[in-house]
Amino acid sequence: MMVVILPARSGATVSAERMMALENRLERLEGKIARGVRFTEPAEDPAGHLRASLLARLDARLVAEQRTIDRASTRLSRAEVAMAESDQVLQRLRELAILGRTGSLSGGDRQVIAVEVRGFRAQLFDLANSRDDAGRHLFAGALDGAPAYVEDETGAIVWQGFGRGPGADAAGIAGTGVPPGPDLFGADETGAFAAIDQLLAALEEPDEQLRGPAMEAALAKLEAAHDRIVGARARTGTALARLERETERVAQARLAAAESLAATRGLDLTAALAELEALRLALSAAQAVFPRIHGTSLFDRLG
Amino acid sequence: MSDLLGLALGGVRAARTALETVGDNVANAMTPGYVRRVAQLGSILPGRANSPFERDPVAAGGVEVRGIARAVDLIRQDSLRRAEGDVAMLEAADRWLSLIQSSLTGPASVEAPLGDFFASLADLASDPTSAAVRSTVLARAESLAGRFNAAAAELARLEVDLALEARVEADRLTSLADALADVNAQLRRATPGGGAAAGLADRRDLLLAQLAALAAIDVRLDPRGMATVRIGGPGGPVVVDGPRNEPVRVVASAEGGFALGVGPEGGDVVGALLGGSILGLSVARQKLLETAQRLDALADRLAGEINAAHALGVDQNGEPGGAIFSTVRLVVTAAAGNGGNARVAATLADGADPPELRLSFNAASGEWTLAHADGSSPVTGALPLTLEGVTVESLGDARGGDVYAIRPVRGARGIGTRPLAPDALAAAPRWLADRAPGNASGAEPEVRVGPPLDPPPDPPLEPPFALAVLAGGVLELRDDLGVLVASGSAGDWLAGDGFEIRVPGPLVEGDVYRIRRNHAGGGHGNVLLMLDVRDRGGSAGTLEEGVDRMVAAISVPLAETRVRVAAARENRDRAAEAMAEASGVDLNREAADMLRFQQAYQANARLIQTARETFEAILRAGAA
Repeated sequence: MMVVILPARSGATVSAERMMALENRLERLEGKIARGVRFTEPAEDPAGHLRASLLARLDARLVAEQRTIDRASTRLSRAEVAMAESDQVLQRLRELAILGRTGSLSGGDRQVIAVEVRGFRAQLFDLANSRDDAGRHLFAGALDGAPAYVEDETGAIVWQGFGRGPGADAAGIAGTGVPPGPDLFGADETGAFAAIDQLLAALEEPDEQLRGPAMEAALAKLEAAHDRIVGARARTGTALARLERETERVAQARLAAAESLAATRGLDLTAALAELEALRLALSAAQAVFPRIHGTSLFDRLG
Repeated sequence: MSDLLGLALGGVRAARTALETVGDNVANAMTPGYVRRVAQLGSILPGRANSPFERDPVAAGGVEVRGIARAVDLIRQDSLRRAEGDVAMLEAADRWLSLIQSSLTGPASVEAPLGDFFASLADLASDPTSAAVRSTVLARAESLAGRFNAAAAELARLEVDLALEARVEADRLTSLADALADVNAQLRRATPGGGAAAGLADRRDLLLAQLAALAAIDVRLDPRGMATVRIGGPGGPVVVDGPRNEPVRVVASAEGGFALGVGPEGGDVVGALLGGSILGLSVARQKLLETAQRLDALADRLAGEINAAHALGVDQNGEPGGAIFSTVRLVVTAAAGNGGNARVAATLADGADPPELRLSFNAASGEWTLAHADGSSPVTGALPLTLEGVTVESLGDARGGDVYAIRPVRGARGIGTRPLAPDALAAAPRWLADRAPGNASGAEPEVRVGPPLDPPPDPPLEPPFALAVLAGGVLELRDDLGVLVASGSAGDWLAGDGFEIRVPGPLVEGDVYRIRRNHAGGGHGNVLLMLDVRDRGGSAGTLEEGVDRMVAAISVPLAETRVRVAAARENRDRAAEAMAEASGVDLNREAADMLRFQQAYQANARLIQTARETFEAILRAGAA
């Protein structure tokens, strides 16, 4: 409740209130110096506070963007490792296919090659079902809770994912999600696994007349699969490079935001200290003068 | 000689009265509201006999004290009253606007939890299956709702306190008016120019100054000094007229502030608030109500837009998303006259939107009755009772006739979070679309929730759907049985049954795009829709801009008020100095007057002595 008390507003009262106002200003300025800020509440500088809020929000968004970029980078890096290993597997399979094409190989030799091919098939199957650090399947697209590839009832390895997985979309950066399985390993009917199965069938083909063209067809598919993986690796590398550039952009943007925030909210200490000294001097002078002006009267001179 | 004695005696009396006046002034130098007294001396006109010893006086008549006047400058006094009113108004507005600003900023601000909520959604977009991230989203939603509740509750508390202060100020105004009426009555009986009248006039002016600090008033003084006071201006309602006064109360105005009602309740005449602390409270109340409305609008918008986006997606079980935010809470208020100590708790069923309810206890039957506020649709029995989705229970003992109001609140007070499990967050899109493996074009399809086909196809369509690119860039959307659903061109949105799909170019003939329901709840597309809410602007701006505008709507007028307060105080101080110059006690001046009247007293006393000596000389001469 506000109580209205009207003191006798003499010159002394007014002077005392002015000294009190000076002391209040000093107190507020000392608070600002201690905190290093130009304003401690919006009303002290509404436009400045708004600018500071916008900059603080921008920084918070940049921090969230960086987390998104980091997650996308981690997943892409994991995928890149799997792709690099898949690339090596496919290269080795091509070599085995070229070797298997040799007409002088015996059935036993082709069996040995087939065993190795089966081994690489299993390895490629595992790589196709690579997971990220949260256990989600990298190449399953949006359905990353289940393996990207499974063996169907015929024994063929087929993709059971759908769509695309998360990238850095939340940071406004498109095209940085891990590519879905078909982009790396091709369609179920014509991709890498179909090529490997075709190679195995060709290696086990007893008819030499049929074996040759089958081997050629398998080799062609393996070449295409290898090219596909190389292309996917290149695109993944490009995406990773983009995320690196975005990281730099975010870092620079955060630095700029921090500088702007300091300029907006930060206190010019030199000016503030000068003002502090001026106020202290004014208060000291007012206090020294007050008793001289208001402390005596003619009554003091009368005997 | 007797004339000399009479003259000197008059002079001594006058000097003594003047010295007493000086003494009165010095004694009251620091008395609030004291106006310097001036002894009004006047010479007595010749021809008047001043003593029985005179028959035909030819000399001057001497001096007399005509009265004790107050050295008041009415114009300066009025200026000071207005200046005090301005300061009081601005200080009240400053104080309350500062409180409102504090309830919106710093730890109380909704800005930080709003940003945190959207940041958690951004994390969910890049890691939609993480249980920890999902739990964080829900926790931050709850924290955000809680901050809205806290801000709204604080504003509601400020509204109650502000109304209380306004009522107290109005009561004080009535009390001051009452005191002023008493002073008027005494002034009517006092002798004009006397010391008592001067003291009463001081008291009157002090009361008027206190009244002016509460509300702008118009003052008229009659020849006896009785004040007639009107609220606002010369045409405003009379609050004090001579020895009578009217009660004053604050009432809510249509604009959201306060108005002053003068007169008996029910027969109020509304007076304009043009100054004083009550006007400051009125301005603050308007701002407070506007702020509460903005806060409510923000809460409603946040809940509405997030819930709408959430409903477009599916959760980890493939189920459509429900609401994240609830928009109604229940507030239970016990009637002031309740005699029992029962504490009633009310819970709201998920999705219920009840009207206001009333719970009462019947001691005779020992039963409770829960009904609508108007008494309709009663449910009677032992607790717990349920009506309109509201279940009430109690702890403690109730007495017969105890009544409880159960009021649903919405907006910022009503926003809350529904009890969702982390896997019930609908981060995934309801429909998934991709390009078939083996497509020659790298174009990616876009799919969104759409309305079901009207009329519904018969027989129903069989998902999944396929969008094929034909010759000439024609797109055809078919179901799994090959039924044609829609056709179009690159970039067109094609309407399916509950979805819409488009494929931006370039298109290659023979490419196929697949569309299916997301039964497994995979993907993050719906989180992106919820994140879009953050940047959704339009005429109202984004949510965060809404928070900025809400704060600025207080901080800008508050900044302006503080500048005006400083100027008003300076203006008031100058008015006070001018007033003090005219009406205040200056010790130097009183000391000088004291010397002067002391000399006059001594001189007149010497004259008395001279007159006596002269008279004695005459007597001695006569005796000789």
